[in-house]
Amino acid sequence: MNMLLAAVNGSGMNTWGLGILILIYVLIIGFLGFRGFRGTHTHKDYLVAGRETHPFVMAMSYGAAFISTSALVGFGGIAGQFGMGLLWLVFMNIAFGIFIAFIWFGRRTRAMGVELGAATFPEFIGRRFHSNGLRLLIGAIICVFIPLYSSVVLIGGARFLQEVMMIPYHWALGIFAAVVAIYVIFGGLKGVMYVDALMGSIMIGGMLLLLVLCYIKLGGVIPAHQALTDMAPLVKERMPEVYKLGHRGWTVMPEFNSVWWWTLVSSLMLGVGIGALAQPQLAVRFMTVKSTRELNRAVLIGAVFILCTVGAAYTVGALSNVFFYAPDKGIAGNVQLLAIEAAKGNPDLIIPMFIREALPTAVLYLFSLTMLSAAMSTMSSLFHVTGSSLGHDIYRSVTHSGCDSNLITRLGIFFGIVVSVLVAIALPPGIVARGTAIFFGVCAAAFLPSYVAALYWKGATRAGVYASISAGVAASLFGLLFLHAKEAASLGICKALTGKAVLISVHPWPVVDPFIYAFPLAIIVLIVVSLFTQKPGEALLSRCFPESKEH
Amino acid sequence: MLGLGDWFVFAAMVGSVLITAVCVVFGIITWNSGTEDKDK
Repeated sequence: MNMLLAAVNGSGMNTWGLGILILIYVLIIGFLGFRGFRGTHTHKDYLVAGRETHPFVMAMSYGAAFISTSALVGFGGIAGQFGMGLLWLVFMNIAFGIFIAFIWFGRRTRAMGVELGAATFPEFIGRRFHSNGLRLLIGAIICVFIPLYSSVVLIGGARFLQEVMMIPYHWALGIFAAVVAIYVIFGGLKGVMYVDALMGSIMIGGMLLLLVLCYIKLGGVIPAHQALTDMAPLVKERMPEVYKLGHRGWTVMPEFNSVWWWTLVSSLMLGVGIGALAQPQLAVRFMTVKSTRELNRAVLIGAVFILCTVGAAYTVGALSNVFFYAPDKGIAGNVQLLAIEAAKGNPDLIIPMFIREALPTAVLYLFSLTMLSAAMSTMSSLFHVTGSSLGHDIYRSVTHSGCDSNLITRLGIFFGIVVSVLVAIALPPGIVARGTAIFFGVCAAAFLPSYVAALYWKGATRAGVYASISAGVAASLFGLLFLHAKEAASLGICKALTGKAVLISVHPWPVVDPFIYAFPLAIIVLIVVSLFTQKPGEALLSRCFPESKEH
Repeated sequence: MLGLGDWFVFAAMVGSVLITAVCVVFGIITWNSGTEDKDK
């Protein structure tokens, strides 16, 4: 995001022009938030948008909440380094994040959620296994991990406002959080989803335009790809260290079992790709529609959204190498550089720099709105899920309070936003991409086995789910603190306790994402513990699986 | 192969478009089908 800011500043963009555009944008957001507020009367309206959401709004909201600035700028820049192998993540996002998620997870989540009267993800799992404790545990995990993610997204948005509007960073942080807070607190999930639909539409338009202009700039689809393919020998020539790590070019996969191969496959493709299935802020959206018909329609819209946004970002990121290496690109200092060299080693800068150098200023305006939309839509869904966990799931369960559910959830959201702002102030720079990957991985390891079991396995027990979630979180944290080199080295806990940067230094362990072992472990623990503990009652199962009763 | 250097990367690009096409076809075929459950 810092790069984007630098790109904006260097582009000759008219600050007043962009300021007016942002003002109009904020007014429309305000109007949509107000619509949400006017349509919110019950806690069902506030938490699951009255279960009557239009499929377009649902699909765009799901996509906009799913895809943040981190996915577009952060991972787009990673594609500038790793190349088009990252397109497997687009495939995974659509196959798992949309197709499997909506058809195999969404339908049952919606039907079971309605049957059990659940309005949040913790409440859904808690009621499915008849356990208030589980609801509290999941709510607590959400409250601990989601503010970390929402704060890194907040940092990105605030840095952007700081550079574009030329206001101090802490003011930008406050303003950005306040705008989102107002429509989330008052508009509830209805307000969030209406605004998300607008933002999702802007994101599709912005990213598609970026892709088309990129191909035009580089002479067409096949010439652009061919030029990138022909650059492969430059890896060994200009980046011998990276070549040793397994990089073989931008249109080929890294060498099998190399450091880069493990990073691409374990962290990016599998961790982030599968991780989308178990994110509480996404799962709750399945409960916002009134029938499976809306989910069927949302599959179409959601898949097109993901292809147009992340597909465009990763393709443009990789192809930016062709532009930066061209000898006649028509910009100041026509030095032939690889994208990562042009960005001075910071992949976050690749996409913004490409836009600044290669495309018309008007695209930067649209891209600015695209980035604000990506950040705000993700943040609003995270604030909403944190607040509902804190207020609806934890506070009301612990205190057995009979007070107004909407009021307490609003207070929970307010508290969640304050925590996120404080965390954002405290976090060091350069945390955005790492924070995102950690969040996705922990969510998958902690929640996915139990979520699948809740939907499909009658034999899953409450004790099994407790054990699985605990094992998933514990193994993820152990991996992050002691095994995965990136986090273990920067946190330094392993070094302090054992004297070594990582516990196992034999390849490939330092580069294997914790998700790769935490997730299977959580599955095994769930199955083993469930087999030896008390099964759920027949009455509960027949409510959750009414179809099996009929046959 | 669209000017790409590796079948695996080519498969990723084509696979992404194909899975999107599958979703689009699925959405069109099931556009008007579905069941509704009432809140308890």
